[in-house]
Amino acid sequence: MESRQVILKFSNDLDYLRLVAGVSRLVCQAIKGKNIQEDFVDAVELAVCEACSNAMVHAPYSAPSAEIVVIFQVLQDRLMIQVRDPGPGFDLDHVSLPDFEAHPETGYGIYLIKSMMDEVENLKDEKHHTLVMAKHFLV
Amino acid sequence: MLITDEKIGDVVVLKLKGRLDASSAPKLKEQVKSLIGNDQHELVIDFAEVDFIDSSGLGVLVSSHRSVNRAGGDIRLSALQDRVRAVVELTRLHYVFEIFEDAVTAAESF
Repeated sequence: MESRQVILKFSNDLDYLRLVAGVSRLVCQAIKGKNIQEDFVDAVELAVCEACSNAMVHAPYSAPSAEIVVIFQVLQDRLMIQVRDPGPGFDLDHVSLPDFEAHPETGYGIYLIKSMMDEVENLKDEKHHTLVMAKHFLV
Repeated sequence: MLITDEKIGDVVVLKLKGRLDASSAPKLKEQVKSLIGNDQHELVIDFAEVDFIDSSGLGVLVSSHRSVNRAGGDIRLSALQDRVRAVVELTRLHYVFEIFEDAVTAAESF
């Protein structure tokens, strides 16, 4: 992992989630000298899979041929992951917490991502939506 | 994800193997729907061989639970691995489901 960056591109097919999960774990396990524990690996896998399935299932303009791009970047103090899709995205600040009293059937995805990661933000341009997530290494 | 079923008394135990995520959750939903259609309303979903669950998996558990409740039955969960249990608890769904150490104990609780 000399470039300290891994890029994964795939079409809009939920069957790719297993590949995403596997690559997420491999990237984490390949990080040297950062005291990566299993809970770090599990958290990254869940957050990345949630972000990808969110892009594939909920992005209304994601045709089957739409390309999802995941970029893993190992920085000095954190692992940063970008998940880019061709949909219009959403306003992260307006995604409310699930109603824990009502136990809804949907709406847990962003909550789980935020719970698993230290930083979450989204970027939008004319053609893409990108969810940017980071998890800090333990010092 | 592989789903097998067996009966313990009148209770149907669905044993899941693999990942309960957005790609596999519809399969579980269909299986539960089919069981309800066959008047099987007392179900255990066994997670002994499930090492991953995401929001889609959680959603199918909740919707299945509601469907079975409406039919007068219940779904109980068994043998959650630590990682799956952590996600269930994080989303407060351990207040929705009765959770047991193993499938036999769950089935006998009906």
